[in-house]
Amino acid sequence: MNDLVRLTAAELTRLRSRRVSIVAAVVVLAAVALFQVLIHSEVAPTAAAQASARQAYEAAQQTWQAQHTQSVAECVRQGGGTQEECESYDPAPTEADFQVTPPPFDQVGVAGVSTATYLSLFAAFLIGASFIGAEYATGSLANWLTFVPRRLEVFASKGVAVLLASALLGAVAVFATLGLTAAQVAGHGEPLVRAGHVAAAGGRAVVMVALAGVAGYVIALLTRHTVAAIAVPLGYGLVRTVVAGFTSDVDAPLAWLPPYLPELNLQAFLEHGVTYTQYRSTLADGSDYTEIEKHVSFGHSGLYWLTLAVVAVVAGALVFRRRDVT
Amino acid sequence: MTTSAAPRHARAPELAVSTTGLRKTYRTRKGRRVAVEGLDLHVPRGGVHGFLGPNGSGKTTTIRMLLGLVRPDSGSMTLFGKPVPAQLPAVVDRVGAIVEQPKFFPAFTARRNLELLAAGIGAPKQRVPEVLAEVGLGERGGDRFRSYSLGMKQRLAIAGTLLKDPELLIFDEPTNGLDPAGIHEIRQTMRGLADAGRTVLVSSHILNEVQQVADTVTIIGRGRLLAEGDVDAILARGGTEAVRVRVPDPAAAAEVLARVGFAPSPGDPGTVLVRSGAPGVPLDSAQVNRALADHGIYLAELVWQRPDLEEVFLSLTAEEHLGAGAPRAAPPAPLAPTAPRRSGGRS
Ligand SMILES: Nc1ncnc2c1ncn2[C@@H]1O[C@H](COP(=O)(O)OP(=O)(O)OP(=O)(O)O)[C@@H](O)[C@H]1O
Ligand SMILES: [Mg+2]
Repeated sequence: MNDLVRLTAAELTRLRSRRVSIVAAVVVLAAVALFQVLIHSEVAPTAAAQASARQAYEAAQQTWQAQHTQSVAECVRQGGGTQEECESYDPAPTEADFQVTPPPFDQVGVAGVSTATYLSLFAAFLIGASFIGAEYATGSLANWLTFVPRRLEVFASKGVAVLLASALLGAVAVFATLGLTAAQVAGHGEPLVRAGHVAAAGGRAVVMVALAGVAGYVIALLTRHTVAAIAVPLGYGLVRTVVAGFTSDVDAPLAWLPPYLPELNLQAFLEHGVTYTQYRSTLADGSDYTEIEKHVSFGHSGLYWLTLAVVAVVAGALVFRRRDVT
Repeated sequence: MTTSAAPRHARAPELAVSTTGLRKTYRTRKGRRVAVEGLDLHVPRGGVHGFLGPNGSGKTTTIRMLLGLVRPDSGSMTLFGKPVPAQLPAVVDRVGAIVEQPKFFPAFTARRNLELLAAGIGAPKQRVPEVLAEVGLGERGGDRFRSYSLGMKQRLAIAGTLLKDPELLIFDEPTNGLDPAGIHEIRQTMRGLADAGRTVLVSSHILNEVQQVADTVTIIGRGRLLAEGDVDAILARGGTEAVRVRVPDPAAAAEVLARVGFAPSPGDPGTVLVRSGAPGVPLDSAQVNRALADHGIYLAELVWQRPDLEEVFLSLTAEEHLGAGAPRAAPPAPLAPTAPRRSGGRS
């Protein structure tokens, strides 16, 4: 145990001295800062911007009132749907559409969390992958192992270092975003609605960022190359688009697959449950269909990620314990 | 083809290193390649032990197995009597090793690299400047490893091993890329370590260098043991001593020498190579000189030719090279042309 703490400390020292880590962290934090500029224009619009937004809104309102009845009637007459359906195709413009009033805190907060999260996920994966990939590339892993031949401890210490560093990166990115956003909203005299909900979303995001770091580490450990590790999610994205056709229809052979796909589980974890749609053709030629809503729960995604994390860590440990390092 | 020229160390109570029936194959695209095949190695405690073999004979692989970097297919190994790799963590602090080219983190300074190692093995950080100074890198400790010359990298690796004050040092071709002064220095370092009671296992194919410093040697070829023992004993088997004499008329000189009981043979143009005429009788160069002078032949030059490790090595390993084409473990050729079989192309 003592060994593990000492080794982890050494790995953390190396991790924070690495250029990749520093650059990735700086990029993420710069993006977080940039995002605040965008937020600022939303939550604290200038009087002129507000006036022009109201003007645009009122203009749209007038147009809608003038044309709505007629366009619905037209729609019904041309067989575009029932009266109700045609009504829904032409909704009344809202103040929110034109941002006449600043969006509420929970909305900007969650948007901010989302931006910070995806950036950090990416950065953490890269940091984790290159941390071990570089050791394979330079051969310094063999050198390290001649000094510290305890394979499992070495594997664990590197993993823990990546986990901690990723969690820290995620936490700083997410909670800096939330803190700054809250300050802006409050500074503009608006209430911090559903602050607990937003903070919980941030907390879940940090967990995912930490896992992304570990994922990068384990994949690069298995493939022995940073680039190969990065290619894995890219390759997955490619396969995913190809397979999409087999998962979108409820009667397709792979219709059962979506609840086991990482991207849906990621969303489900971050957003505390997610709804996705599949289609069922109602006409034989597929020209008409109904939408079927399905749900992936937060609990499901939690179990999913836990299982995947355990499998990945065990697989990594087993492989690394016996692998030749030359 | 295993021969021992010295009392076997195998039964000695504590060897620094021993291996029995050690075997390792690497998976390559063309199937399995045997790197080490049934190697028995016995390195006594104390002294410098040369580990010799031609390129690709399995020296580095053996060292990697001892250090737990690669896993043997079969066989057993011990370090200080402890079975490895099972008990490697227990003995690793007593072993310092440099395998092939030293590979540190290129973007970090030498000092930072050593600090990381010190942290990893729990050595005090204050040792870092000390060991850097010990290998003459005190001034350059702040430079990135990447910017080091080959010799400086080699020195840094030695500094790394000194962090833990080991009893056994394993150097895999430590003088690779060093200048003559550096080579001399490494030799001195190895001798110094051995004289201080440590054991040095040094792999090399620069035989001259090993002969100058080693007490015992192991010679391997194609992953097998060819000879092991004290350097002197191995040299004694390598051939007989001879003197080379340069004379105006080599033919006449040879005739004279043969008559008085020496065994002359033609040497380079203008010289005769003289060996002792009777087995077991040491050659006396003064007698050679006198016999020729008595017959009015005066020497322009007399040079002792002693067998060196290189000769022994070449004669031992030549047979191994000749055997290279023999179908020792080659799989039977397929009867009909088939698609090339590939077995796990990872390496
Ligand atoms: N990682 C590897 N993958 C596949 N084959 C390997 C690997 N490392 C070594 N070999 C093979 O194993 C054999 C022994 O190599 P090794 O490096 O142990 O030789 P060596 O005695 O150290 O040679 P040298 O004097 O050139 O350093 C060689 O045939 C080599 O090609
Ligand atoms: Mg070698």
